[in-house]
Parts: sequence; C-alpha cells; structure tokens
Amino acid sequence: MREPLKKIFSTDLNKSLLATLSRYYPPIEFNEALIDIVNILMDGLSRGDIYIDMKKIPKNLELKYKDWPNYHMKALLESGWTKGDNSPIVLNGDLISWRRTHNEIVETIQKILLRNQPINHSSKQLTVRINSRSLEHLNVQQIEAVNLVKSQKIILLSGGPGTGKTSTILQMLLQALTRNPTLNIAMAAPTGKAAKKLKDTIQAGIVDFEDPIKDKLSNIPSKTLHKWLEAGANGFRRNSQRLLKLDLIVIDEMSMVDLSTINGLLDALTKSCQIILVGDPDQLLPIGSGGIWQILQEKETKTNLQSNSVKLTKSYRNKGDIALLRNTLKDEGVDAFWHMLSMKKDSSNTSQYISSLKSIPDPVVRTLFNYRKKLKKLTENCINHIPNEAWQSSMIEVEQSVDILKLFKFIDNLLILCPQRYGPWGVKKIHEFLLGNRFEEEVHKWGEGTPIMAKSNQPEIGLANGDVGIIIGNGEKRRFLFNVFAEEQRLVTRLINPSRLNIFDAAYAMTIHKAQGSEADQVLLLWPSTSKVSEKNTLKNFFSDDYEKRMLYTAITRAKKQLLVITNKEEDF
Amino acid sequence: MTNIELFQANKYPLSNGMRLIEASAGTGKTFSLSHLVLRLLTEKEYSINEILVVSFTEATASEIKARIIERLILALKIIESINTNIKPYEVDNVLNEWVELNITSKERALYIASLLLEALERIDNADITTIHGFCSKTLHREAIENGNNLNPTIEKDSKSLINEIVEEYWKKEILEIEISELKGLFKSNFNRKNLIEVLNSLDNDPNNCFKQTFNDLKIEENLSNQLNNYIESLWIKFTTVWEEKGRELEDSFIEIAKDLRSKGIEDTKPYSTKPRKNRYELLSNWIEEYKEKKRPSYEDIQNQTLINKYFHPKNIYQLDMKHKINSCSKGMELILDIIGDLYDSPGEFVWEHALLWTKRELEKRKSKKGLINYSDLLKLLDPKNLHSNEIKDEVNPNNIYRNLEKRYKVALIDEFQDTDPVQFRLLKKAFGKRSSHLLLMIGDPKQAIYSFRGGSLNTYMKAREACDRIHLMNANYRSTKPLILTLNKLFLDGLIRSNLSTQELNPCSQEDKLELNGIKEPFKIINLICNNQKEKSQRIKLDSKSKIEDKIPKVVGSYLLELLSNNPKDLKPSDFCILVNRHDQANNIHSYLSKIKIPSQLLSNENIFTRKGAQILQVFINCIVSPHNQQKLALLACSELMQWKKEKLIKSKFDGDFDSLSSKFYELSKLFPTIGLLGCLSKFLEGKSIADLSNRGTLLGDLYQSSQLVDEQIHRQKFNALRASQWLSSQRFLSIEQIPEEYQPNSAVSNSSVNIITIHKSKGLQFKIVICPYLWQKPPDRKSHLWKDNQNLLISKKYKWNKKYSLFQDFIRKESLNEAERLAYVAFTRAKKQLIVLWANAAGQEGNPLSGFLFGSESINLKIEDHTKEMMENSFTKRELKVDIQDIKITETNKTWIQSKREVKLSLGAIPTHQFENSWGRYSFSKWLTQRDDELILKNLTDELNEDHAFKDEIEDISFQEIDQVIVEKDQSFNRLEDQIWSKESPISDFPRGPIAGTCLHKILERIDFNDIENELKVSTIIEEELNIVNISNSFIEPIIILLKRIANIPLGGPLGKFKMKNLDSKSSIKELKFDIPICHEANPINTLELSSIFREDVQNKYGSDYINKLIDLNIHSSGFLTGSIDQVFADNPNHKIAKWWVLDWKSNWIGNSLSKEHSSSCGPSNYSISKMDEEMYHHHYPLQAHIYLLALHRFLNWRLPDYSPQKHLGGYIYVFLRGLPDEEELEEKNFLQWTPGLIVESAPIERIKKLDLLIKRQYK
Repeated sequence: MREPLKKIFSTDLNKSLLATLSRYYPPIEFNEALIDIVNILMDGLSRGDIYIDMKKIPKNLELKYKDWPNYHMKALLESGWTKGDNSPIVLNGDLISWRRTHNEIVETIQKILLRNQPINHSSKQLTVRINSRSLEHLNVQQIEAVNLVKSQKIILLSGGPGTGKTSTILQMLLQALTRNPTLNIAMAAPTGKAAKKLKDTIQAGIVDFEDPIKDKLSNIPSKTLHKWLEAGANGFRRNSQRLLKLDLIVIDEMSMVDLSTINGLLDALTKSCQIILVGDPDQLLPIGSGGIWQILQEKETKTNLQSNSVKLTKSYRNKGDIALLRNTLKDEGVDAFWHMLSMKKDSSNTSQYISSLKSIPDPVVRTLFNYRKKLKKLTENCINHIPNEAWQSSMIEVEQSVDILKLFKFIDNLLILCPQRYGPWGVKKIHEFLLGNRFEEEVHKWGEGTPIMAKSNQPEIGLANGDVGIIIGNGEKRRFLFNVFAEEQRLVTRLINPSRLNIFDAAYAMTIHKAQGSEADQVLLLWPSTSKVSEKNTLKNFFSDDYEKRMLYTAITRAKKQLLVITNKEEDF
Repeated sequence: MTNIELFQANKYPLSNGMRLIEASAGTGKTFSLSHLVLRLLTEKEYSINEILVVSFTEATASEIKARIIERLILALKIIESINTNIKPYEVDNVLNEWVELNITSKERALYIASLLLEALERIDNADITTIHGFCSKTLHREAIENGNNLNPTIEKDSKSLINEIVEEYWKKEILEIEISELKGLFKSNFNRKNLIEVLNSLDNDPNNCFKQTFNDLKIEENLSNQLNNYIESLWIKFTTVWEEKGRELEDSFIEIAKDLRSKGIEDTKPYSTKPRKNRYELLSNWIEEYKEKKRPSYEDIQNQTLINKYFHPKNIYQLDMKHKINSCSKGMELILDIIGDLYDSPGEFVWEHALLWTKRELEKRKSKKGLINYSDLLKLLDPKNLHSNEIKDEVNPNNIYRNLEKRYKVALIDEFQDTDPVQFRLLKKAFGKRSSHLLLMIGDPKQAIYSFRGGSLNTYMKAREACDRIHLMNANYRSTKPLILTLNKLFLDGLIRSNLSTQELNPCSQEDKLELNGIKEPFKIINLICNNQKEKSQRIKLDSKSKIEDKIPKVVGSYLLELLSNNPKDLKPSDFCILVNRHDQANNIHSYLSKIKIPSQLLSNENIFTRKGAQILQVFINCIVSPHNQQKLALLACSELMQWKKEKLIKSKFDGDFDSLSSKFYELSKLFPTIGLLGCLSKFLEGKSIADLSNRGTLLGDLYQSSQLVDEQIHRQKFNALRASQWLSSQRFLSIEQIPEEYQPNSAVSNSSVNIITIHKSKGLQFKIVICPYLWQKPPDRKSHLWKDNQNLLISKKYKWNKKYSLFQDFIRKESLNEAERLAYVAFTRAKKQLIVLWANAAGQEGNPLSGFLFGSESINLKIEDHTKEMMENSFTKRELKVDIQDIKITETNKTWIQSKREVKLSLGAIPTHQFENSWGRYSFSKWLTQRDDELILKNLTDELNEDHAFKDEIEDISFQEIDQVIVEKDQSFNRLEDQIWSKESPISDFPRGPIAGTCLHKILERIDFNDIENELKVSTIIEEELNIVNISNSFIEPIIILLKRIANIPLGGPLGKFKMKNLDSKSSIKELKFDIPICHEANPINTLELSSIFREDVQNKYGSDYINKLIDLNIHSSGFLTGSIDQVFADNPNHKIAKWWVLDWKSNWIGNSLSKEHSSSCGPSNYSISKMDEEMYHHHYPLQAHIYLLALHRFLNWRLPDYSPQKHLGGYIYVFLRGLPDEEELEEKNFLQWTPGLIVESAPIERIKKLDLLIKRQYK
C-alpha cells in the first residue's frame, strides 16, 4: 500500500530525471531553473495533481530560482520542451503537465466520449415484467439517474457520502434488468474493501425484494478492478485481445481509481457495455498518475458529458454540524472551515480540542483506553459462542452470534484518523503508545482484543486490503476474527490462523487514506498544525491548499454521528 | 562409385577435391584428423585460418581443438629435440614417420617449426567449431565487413518465446471455443504441450515447411466461429451422404469380411461376415437424435465409437495394410472420406489454425527482437534460398559464398553421417569447388543415429556418391583382439536393414583379453528364459514386451552381482557400463542396483540446480518466504516432500491441517535466520519422510546438496529468505556453460560405480565391459503429429488414407528400425574388452535390431517365435563365431553386494589415489562454534584474531589498537611467576597472524616429513613454496625450519613420555584425515545440553564438568552430518596391534603480550603456560573438538583395526601450540618434565567418547 504523505519522489530522483530528459530531448537553451519545473510537476504527481497552474506560486515547495513564474516560463519556453508532439511537457494556457500523463488523460477522455452513445434498444425487450418498485422514495436527482440507464451508455453519478449513491445504483440496476433480465452485470471498485462494501450494501438493500430479481441482484459479482482485469506482472490480461464480456459494469469509488486502470478497463470492455461510474469528486486523489474522476467532473470536460451526469446533493446522513462543516469546507475552503469549527463551541456533534503535539491528546487516550477495555471484554464474550471445530481451520465458518455482531458493530463505531503514519500524532505513535515501542517486531505479543487491519488482498481466505478484524484467543488458540467474503460472495465470519495473514497492522488508528471508504459513528481526527504562522513547519509545507482540503473533507465525511477534531497548540512550533 | 582405398595417415593425398574418409568406431578418427591438420599446415603450408574444422557438438569440437594443439606442440617438440639433441620424446609411429618424411634438413626443420609456431599462435582464432558456430561466425563477419545492420542475437531455440505465444493463443482463441467442442479437440491430441512441441520442432527444422491444407481457413479471423461453421458443414455433408449411402457401406463391409474369409484370412476385425449388430441402424438412430436439436458437438462425435471403431476409414486401411490387399472400392471412397473428415478434420482444422497463427507470430516477434535460432541461421545461408527476396535485403548470400571460398582452402567435416541436407548444401556450395578446395568429410554411416535432429543417411549416401575418392580407416585401437575378431565376424554381412557394409577391422590394441570367472568368450549372450515357457510345447505364448522389460533390472542386477562376487579381484563396478535406450530404463536399473547395494550412476553432465531436488527446494523456500500463501503451501503439500493427495488437500482446508502447515512455516520463517535453510529442512522433514525420500533415488541427496549450496550463499551474502529464494531460482534458470564442480550432483560424482547411459549419449565413449540389456526390443513407432510429403509438413490427414500417407508411415517405420540397428552397432562398439548382450523372446518384437546379428542376416524377417536358441547356435557355428550363451531364468535375488574384503594382514596401505566424497556434510565443528548467541559473538570477536582456520570475516573491522589493548590488560592481570623461567621468544613470534598465515603453517606441517627433517634443502623448498603461495616473506624460512626441528625433537611428554615426532614411522601416520559422522539421522537433533552432559563422565580427565559452563554458550542444534578433518592421526608404535592411536592438532594461536614495556610485541614459550593454554582451549572450545576427533578416531579404528578395544588402542589428543614450543635444549636445561610449554597431551577419556558415540548415533525412539 502506498504510504500517504511520504515524499515519494526524492530530489535526487528529480535531478536525474532532469538529466535524463536533457539527454533524450536536448533543450535548445538549457536553464537550471528547469529543475524547479520538474520538481513541481513531480510533486504534483505525488498528490495526484496532473495539471499545475503556473500562475499560482507554489507554496509547498522551495524554489531554487526566483521570479516565478516569469523566469521559469521563459526558461521552459526557451528549452523547447513544450514544442511539437514529442516534447516531454505540455503547456496549455497557464497549465503545465507531463505529456505522458496529459496524453493518457486525453486518450481516456477520448475513449469515454467514443463510448458515449445512446443505447439502441434491442428487439427482445421486456420479456419479464419486473415489478419495479415505486420510485417514490427517490429524490429528483436519483430518479434522473435511474432514467439515464434507459438511454445512456456512460453514466456519471457523483455525490458526497450519505447522498444515497448505493440505493440509486440499486434502482439503476433494477431499471437495467427491466430492459433485459439476462444482462451480464458486474460491480467493481478500486480496492477490495470498497468492492466488499458495495456488495454489502447492495445485499442489504435487496432484502425485501422478490425472488427472481433478488436472486439475480444478489449474484452480481463485485471485485476489484485489478481482479476484473486480471492484473499480473505483465499488465492486464484482460485487454482488447481478450475482452471482458459484460453488458453493464458499475464502478464505485471512482475518486480512487487512477488513470491507467480506467484506461485498461475501457480497453477491455466490449463496445456495447454500459458503464456506470460512481464516486465523490471531493475526496482524495489517487497518488501517482492522477484521478480521471476529478477531471471528468471539471466543467470543460463535463459539457460533453453533461447529459450523462447526475450529481446527488441531498444528503441523508451526517446531519447537523458535520454536514454544515462539510459544506463549508467544500464551498468556502479550508480557512472558512477552521473558522467555523472554532466557532462551534457547543455543537451537538462536532467539537474541537487543542492539545500539545508532545503527547497523545487526552481525549484520544481516554477514548482508546475505554475502547480497548470494551473490545477485550466483547472479544472474551465471543469465545464461548464459537464452536470448537472453528478453531481448527481458517476455512470454517463461524455462525454470527449476537456477541460477534456486537463486537464488529463496536469496532465499526470508532475511527481515529491521522493524516500520516509517521511523526507526532501519527498512526505509529498511537500504536506505540498502546502496544509498546517495539510493537512492530512483537506482533505475536499483541493481546486478545487488539483490532488489526489486513494490508494485502488475499482472496483465498476472503480478505481484502483494509479489512479490519480482531485478535481472539491466546497461545495455541490465538486467531484473527474477520468478516470475510466466502467463495460464493457471501459474507461469513472466520477464525483465521495468524500464519495465514500476509501483512497486517494494528488498527486502533488509521491514516485518512486507509479510511477512504469506511464510515463510523464517532470519528476522532488528529490534525497536527493548522497554523500558518511558521514558515519552517515541514508538515505544513506538504499540503497544498487543494490537497489539504480533500484530506480534511475525506476525514470529516467518515463521521456519521460525532466528530472531534484535535489540533495542536501553536507554540509547539 | 569411386575406388576405395585404405587410409594411411602420412600418405593420404592432400590435393584438392571432395573426399570422404569412412572411419569405423574406435579407429582413431580424432587422432587422424589432428594429424591431417598438422600435415596441411606444414606440407601444404596453409595458414591455420584457412582451415575450417566442423564437428557435431560443442564438446567434440573443443576436444578436436585440444587434440590439434596437442599434436602441433608434440611435433614442435620433436623438431626441437632433433636440433638440440636432447633426449628424444616418445611418440607414436605416425609422427615418427612424418618426421622422417618431412624433416629432411636442419633448415627445413626450422622452417616447419616456424610454421607450427605461427599456427599455435593463431589457434585461438581458428575455426574449429560446430556447423552452427560456423554459420553465426560467417554472418557476423559478413555484417562487419559489409556494414550490414545484422547483429542478431543467437539463441539455441526459441522455447520461451514459443511458450509465451502459445499461452497467448490459448487465451485468445482456444478458451473462447465452447467447452463441448474443446473436449472433443483435446481427444484429438490437441493440447498446449503438443502444440508447443510441434511448433518447436517446426521452428528448429530448416529442411521442411509447414503447408496449409484447409483452403478456407483464415488465420486472422476468430477460430471459434470458423470451427463452428466448419463442423456444421461437415455434419450436413455427412448426414446427406449417410442417408444416401450408409446402408450400402455397411453391406460392403460385410462383403469385405466375406471376401477375406474366402481367401482364408480369419482375422477380419472389425468387420464380420454376419454382424450381430446392425451398425447402420445404430448410427442412423444416433443421427436421428440430432434431427431436431443442434448438431452434435465435436466431443459427441469423438465419443461415437461406431464411427471411430467401425466406419472410420482407418479401420479398413489398417486391415489392408495388414494383409497387403486393396479392398476399398471406388464407390466407398467418397463416403469413407466424409466420415473420416467428420471425425478428424475439426481437430486438424484447429491444429492448422493454431500452427499457422503461432508460427506467423513467432516469426514476427523473432524479427522484431532480432532473434535468430540455429535453424534460422542455416535457412539464412541456405544456397537454395539464394533468390528469396526476404534475405536479399539483409545479406547477399552470393557475397557470402564468394568470401567463404576466398577465406578457406580446406574444410574438414567431422561426424559427417549426422549432417542434414541444408548443411550439406551449404558446405558443398562453399567448398565444393574441386579445383580450389579440399572438402574432406569424415564419418561412419553405421553410427548415424541422429535422424531426429534432421540428419539423414540419404544425405550421407548422396555425398558419398559425389566424392572423388573414399578412404577407409580400419585400424581399431579401442577393443582387444579377440573382441574385434568376434565383432568382425558378427558384422560380416554388414548392417542389413540400413543396407550398409562393414569393413573388417584390424585390431591394433595392445590390451589383453579379460579372463573372468563365468565368462568364456569376449562376446556373451544372456538368453532370457521365461518362467512359463514350456519346452517342446506346440504354441509358445510369449511374454509381452512390458512384462519382460519389468524384469530386466532384476536380471541385470543379479547377473552383475554374480559377476562381481565371482571375480572380486578383477572387477570393480566402475568397469561396467549398461547401455539403455531410454532414460526411464536407466532409472529403473539404477534404482534396482541401489536396492541390491551395487553403486551406480546415471551418466549425464547435469547441474544440480536443474534437478527435481532443486525444484522442490524452491517450493520449500518459497513457503518460508510467504507462509501465508495458500498457493505456495498447496504446491508444497502436493510435492514429494509431503505427498498429499488431492482429497487430503481439500480436506486439509477444513480439518486444520492446512493451517498447521502454514503455522509450521511461520515458525520456520522465524527460525530461518538462525538455523538456515538446511536447518529448516531437517526440522521440517522428520524421520518418516526422509526414509521415503531416500527411496526416491537421488532426490534426498540432491535436496540436501542444493540446500547446502543455498546456505553457503545465505551465509556469505547475508541473504534473507526472499533473497535466497531469488538466488535459487536464478540458479535454476541460468544456463551455465561450465558447470562448477560443486554444482554437479554428488549423487553422480562417485567414480567407483556402474555407469548407466543411453546409447545416444555413449557415442565416442568406451568402457571395459558393456552390457546391452534392451536391444531385443523393437524400437517404438515414432509418433509425430505432422507427416511429411516431399518437403512439406502436413497436419491434415485429408490425404491420410491415400498412398502417400501410408508410404510415409511405412518410411518412418523403416527408418526407425534402421536407426535401431545402427544404435546397436554403436552400442556393440563401445566395449573395450567384454560385450554382454541380453536376448529375450518377447511378443511382437519383430524388427528388433538384434535378430540380424544373432540369428544371421537371413532371419531378420522371421517371426519372433521362430528365434530359437538352436537357431542362434547354428548361426554362430556357421559363421565360426565363438559366443558364450548362457540361459538365465528370471529370479529375484535376496542377496546384496558386499564389497570384497581382502584376506590380507591388516596394515596401512598406500594412500588411495581416488578422491573421497566429502562435500556432503554440513555441520563442521567450526559451524557449531559460529552458532553461539549473537551477543557472545560480539564479545569474543577480539580473540578470534588468534584463531587459525575458521573465522575469516569481520576481523578487519576491529582496529588492532583496540585488540592489543585488550590483550595487554589481560596480560597484566596474570600471574607470571612460573612463566618467567621460559624464554620470551619463539622462532616464529613475528610470523604473521590471522587465518591465512595459520593455514600456511598447516600446509607446511602437512607436507613435512619429520623423519626427514634434517634434509634442509627439501624442507626449505616446501616452506618456500607455501610461503610464496600466500605471499609471506621468505625471511621466515629459517625460523620455520627451527620450529620444525623443535617439533621433531621435543619429547611429547605426558602419557607419551619421550616419544618424539621424528621417530614417528610414516606408515603409522595419516595426515588430514577427513571424517563424516552422521548425527541423529532418525531422531531429534542433538543440542548443546545433551552434548555437554558427556563432560560429566571421566571425572579424572581434564576438561570435565568445569567445561560444561563454557559449552552452554554454544547454540548447537544439529542433525545431518558432522564433518571435519583431523590434522594428524598417528600410532605410537610401529606394531599397530599394541600401539595406541592419537589425534594431533596444530594450533598457531598467538598468546603473546603485544605492548610490553619496550613497546615491541613478544610471544614465546613463556607466554604458553598451562593456565593460558587452558584459557585458550576453553575459549575456542578445543576440548569439544578434541572429543569429536577422538570419536572419529574411535569409529575409524573400530572399522579398520581387528580386535579393536578403546582401552587398549585409543591414545588421546595432542594440541601443539606452535608459537609456544621451547627449544629442545632449553627443555632439557629446565628439566621441567611435568609439562612442556605449547603442548597439551591428554589421554582419551574413554567413557566420554562412548557416551558421545551413543548420543550422536541415537535412534528414533
């Protein structure tokens, strides 16, 4: 898993990149200021930003040469690196980007537009009349989305958390099935956890449905995109040579999908395949090659796809101040958000706490201690209800007793979020606090009731990267209790032998990136340094405005009921 | 045909032309060839670069090169010796004759010498190579000279590329085909493996091309649809014609049966005069089933036995072939063809699509990557393709050939019988001009056994026709005279099937006939009699081939056992070579021989990492890397290591066994850094599975050997498990030209075992006794997916049932019989002294290569039942052949081979000249020492500077200053009173320290003979040599001599009293005695605690319970082997019956005081007090070492010394600290005989040794 906020591209790398570029595309006029441009472009990539606006003075980087952007623009133009079709950099108005990624984006959009054709209705229609449940409970936007299924091959459905994306998807699928009940439908998401969650919510949504259609819907496979594309060491094994024969595919959490994956998917789908893209455009961008979803949401591109896009705005969840804060952040920016937060002293479900960076903040400590104690107790309760044979093998299903349900519900209750893994208030610090300084080496000593997170996809035991489970039992009987997907896409509980897990980590706290796709009633967000006073603040330097905004947005929208934001005192710096 | 003359090495004309030398086996072909090169260089004055020598394999080419160099050097030396009158070299007659003919004057001699020198100087660039090497060199040269952009990467074959393409094709086309059709396809032999195989053979065949036969097949288009349409059309065709003519067909079959019956032929299967079933109706009903539905799938068609076994045309043609008639009437042909089509063509259709597609893709990718394989090389240069445009762009062959003509004057072609048509075309085009070139081909048509590589006897025979002159080589240097005379008579009629004549060979070997008990003649036949064969019964029911083949290992094994035990003095297992046809036969014999304990080896030049053992090891180590990985664990579970069945594997997922496997590896992965791979492996394998594995031939040995090699890398390069796994896999797939000795499987290293080898591989080799146990077998019919018509290779059997196809089938059948005959010839001629052939009458083995030779040429077409023993004997009498025929019944023997013990008085004999296998073990004493806990290693690092052998690493890291400081401190705390009386300096106190210097001293001591210590010249030569090796100053020669004299003259004291090294009889001493002690092979590994318990015994002896505390520091946990080498073992009395035996270890440890007050270091007897030596002993765990050495000695004596008793014979151990030895005079002067500085002499603590013995060999409880 990519670690967020770590400097992915070192300056050395950037230097040699510049040297290589100079060798392959000898600049007409070499100017050392080009290193600034390379630095900025690479830095953007590390956050998922593909286009860099030259007009804005980069805050997050120290420039080697003064007089940005005029001096640099001149250097860039004189180098000839933006001229011609083979030049390494594209200059588009005030925006610069690597040609490689730019071309990839252009190509992807081209592919999407090419597919964007109205559906020609086949003659064999409506052989089965599905009693499509009244769309009454849907709002106007949702109904609009459902109607698009009738006519559009490409549908973009965007909306923040709690805007009813999943229930809309369900209705869209129903709509599609009314057209033709034999459709070959697939669901996909960028991560295993998201795929699981999508499947989960669909499953929960169809409980009241009637049988043929319920059956059909519950059998729709949901896998990660990489799984669908059969990604391997040599790229995707599903490609234009070997198409995926699907009639409809739903891709959730589009905001996390990177360019090359969506590109690969577009290549591997048949021409007739209907594509429904779902996501929240305000969340974090995928690292590395940039997110196509956010670009698709931009106004220029959207004009072409206007008629295919629906934006869900009515939120059914995190009511009250959380929603308010979210909207403020989205519409007015970071500063307004902080301002508003500091105003909300006596809010019902949001609060701010200020603490010193030197220690783990008190509320976190208190919450964690209680959390740990309760977890331990709940775990112990579970043991009695687990049959003996279940301890024997990782593949045996355990009946979900009330205690187990309770336990998992409790785990899902709380999220402690940190922007980073390392540093003060990092995930690691919190775990060290709870599990000891050598907790990473002493995995075998983590006690019963420690929540853990799987950090790789292991389909053979049903685990997805990001799944959270808990340690249960001691000694010979030490196992990991997980809710996993069995082969037939059923959610089951299993006691997994510790040796069967590839990589895992403790899960008392997690990074915001990791939390993408999860939700909890109560969210504690540790947000070191909101101060803009100190120029030397290294942590601070790392955020660009937009990035900070997305990060915050993602973090606070994880909260369903309660949000506590903890910031540090300014004098810490 | 031209006249045939005998070849004479010095008279053979060197004039231009196209010529052939036919050289039978063992006639010194390579020798003559190198002599001819010598003559060409001197008599014709060709430059070595103008001579091209081409051989069949890399190995033979490099052997020829070596022989040529040898020849030239020898000639040069003789010429020099003539001029300088030094004592003449002993040389062969041929060379003597040559000297007489050529060295006519001093000037001439000088001139010839200069020619030879020049040739030798350039020989590295000489073109002595294989045909492929020659081609690629030519192309490269052409590229360089003409500036063509042709720099292809040459590969032996394109296997990996082919695999890749087939894989792609499979996904793109095959997996898209519907499953029911696919199942049918697989029945028609179409599968991935076969596709790869056929594509590979097409790719490697420069002679033929694949031809498309389905005209409407389109490679571009989707196969699945095309196939569907095609089967559809076939089905319609079939149903129409069936309706019309089906009944008629059934009737004609009945007619045929009647017709045959009337001709007196009983066997009319599958047709019958009065069939019980109406097959027409049955099949019609089947067709009816599909009236409404879709057509039957290809699987249904393939499963329809009525078609396959009855109506399919192959049945009628088989019948025809059998009875050599033509019963198929014109009217039937049409419907038969359509039935055949329906059954076969869909499969062939897919085959053809697959082959065309993959072939095209392969060519595309090869040209894109710039790859070229051997066959492409030949194709590229093939004169036949001169006008093809494809090549014109890149190379101009005309130019190439012009250049070749210019470059070479002579081409010598070795092993010409295996040349294929393209190769010959090429050679002829380049060197065939009779006026300007000598094209000399050397070969033996009787040894043409590589037809599967494209070589064909036809090419040879054609070339033979075209030759100007043919010479024969008939002087045999290989086999003894009686054997040659026998073989001459045996081959009198030539090779009948291959239509080749033989020449009478002239025996020239000086070696004697082998006189053996149980063998009367050099040619022996073992006549296998079946148990159920009743004599004089009318109809003998012969055993089937497989039944007899199963028995062969037993027959050969018990016969070998008999021979070996009847001739214990004259025969060793290594005298034998068993020649087999196939590898599985070799394996069968090998495993039976190991059962009756006759050592044997499969001869193959293999890399241990390419073996199964390494593959399993990879699976094992992968599991250590990722114990959570289900796939990898499952792979291991099903491997030989665990042998889970499928059901067990499925069950294991639920009963928890799989989880425990995973946990087990999780544990191992934690242990891996401390116990290494071998440790993990032995932990994983418990007694039971080891026993099973060792039954699987060499697997266990290979497994251990390869893991030992991996461990070495882990240790040396500090690998973790992942890197170790990567290293192993890189070794497994890396092709190394020269396989390092340690990578050769140990299981085949032994040189005292029976050789087992395939006849193909035996070419060029010779063995004292050759056994051919499988020649009574008819060669199997060659199966090929493609068949050949002219130069076209075809998959489609559309024309299958016509003449061409049956002619082809007939042709390859005959070819394989012919080749089997030649293989038999090759096998027979491998023998130097004795040839043993096994004959058995097995059903259906007509066509076997033996019957012509054993029963007379007229009998080759007889039925196998008629090959009686009487007939064989008659045939031999007629040919005046003396053959020893022995009847053998198949009986299982319970005996095992026991190496004969000679009834001689026990004494120390000569030192064996052959090497002992000693690389197998792993836990050496020093390995045990390195297994102490991490912290201890750190603590003790400073002292290790002193130790001689074991610790080489990390020493540099510690600054000397620091170490010195430590030593000084230690020194000062020491009571020096008793030390003061001894001198401070040792002669070698300045001698360098550290492992290299220590090893050097050991080497010197190993070579020195203390009896002869006064021979200063000899001693100083040895010392100087050894010092030079490690680059230590010669100024130490003198001090070391002094030291050696001290060693020789000092009375050893203690229990040995006045015994001195110089009095030691050299016959009573063994230096560098290596040992391998198996540890706990069936029980839990031995550990430190157990080991330390032995020191509780023998309280009166030194290093007892006080040593236990020190020992606990070690972290020993071993099973497997304990290996080591004892510096010296000696007996203190020349009468070994009363002597005590001692182990002696030299120690070069430095216990000086480095920074004394004068700031110069000193080290001498005064530093080596008992207490300080003890400290040293403890520190380096020498007491443990001494006990292990004594155990080794104990076991050794138990084995070699009659009436051995430890009390009587086991002496003890001696540690000699070289730097501490005092002068002899000083010793006498001090008259201090309780102890001698630098010497520790202790009697053996017998109880401890006995306990250690038990501990180490303990059995599984």
